[in-house]
Amino acid sequence: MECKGSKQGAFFVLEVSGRMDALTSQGFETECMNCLEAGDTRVVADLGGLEYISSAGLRSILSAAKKLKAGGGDLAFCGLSGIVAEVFTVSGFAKLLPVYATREEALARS
Amino acid sequence: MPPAQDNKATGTPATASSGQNRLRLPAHQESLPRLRELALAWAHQAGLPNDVEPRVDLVLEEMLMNIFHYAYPSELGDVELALLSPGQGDSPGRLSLTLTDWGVPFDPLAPEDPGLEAGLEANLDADLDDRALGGMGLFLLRTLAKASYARLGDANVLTLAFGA
Repeated sequence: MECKGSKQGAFFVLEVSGRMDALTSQGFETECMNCLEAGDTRVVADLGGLEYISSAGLRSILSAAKKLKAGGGDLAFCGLSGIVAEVFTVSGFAKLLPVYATREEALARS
Repeated sequence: MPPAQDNKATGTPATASSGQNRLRLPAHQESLPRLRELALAWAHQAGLPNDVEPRVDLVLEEMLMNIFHYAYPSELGDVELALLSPGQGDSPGRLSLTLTDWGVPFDPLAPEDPGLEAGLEANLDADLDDRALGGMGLFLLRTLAKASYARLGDANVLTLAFGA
């Protein structure tokens, strides 16, 4: 799994690619915590390059979302496809967390 | 090419291009990549639809992590991945495999505590603050694969079927 970050207006965008599995997923939470410490509490995770996610990845996402929320921010998602979209849907994460089709939509929210 | 000996012993026909139809390794995290590679090779051979192949990957990881973490609380044991079908003559588009461990009896399809099941369902509707982190792997198993479980002697045998 790789994360590439950039500041875009009020949001910090994390482009996540590769696999978010039991061996790699902790890295996502770490990236989000780095954002939080740097004062970027509103994070958009663009999962367009993410090929795979398991429950370990969901745990990392949920933990990061809770910590960002506790810090006064939030965590939104865009670009889901394939098994990633399927796992978000069946796990209920698609209803639990803000999910947008495109990055433009994710950045346009207030 | 003559079939490998273990094929003969179990009566499982060898597949055409992969001579290997079972793999037994120590039940720890380092075994995950090799088991995954083999299962995905089978999935590819079986001609599973593109949207089904990743489910094999996912359910295998969930069940293996479960075994790695819980099957052997004291002494490290083994886990075995075996191909059931397709064998010779089977129709393409489906894959059946088994995961066997010789650890603590555990049926991932029937939690002993009925409250756990109810909790898992309720969990899906819980909001961010209430939502517990556990249980998701078993839920994904039940949602994304056709699974059955048997305790055979001192072994946990989980059969997983994918595709049509």
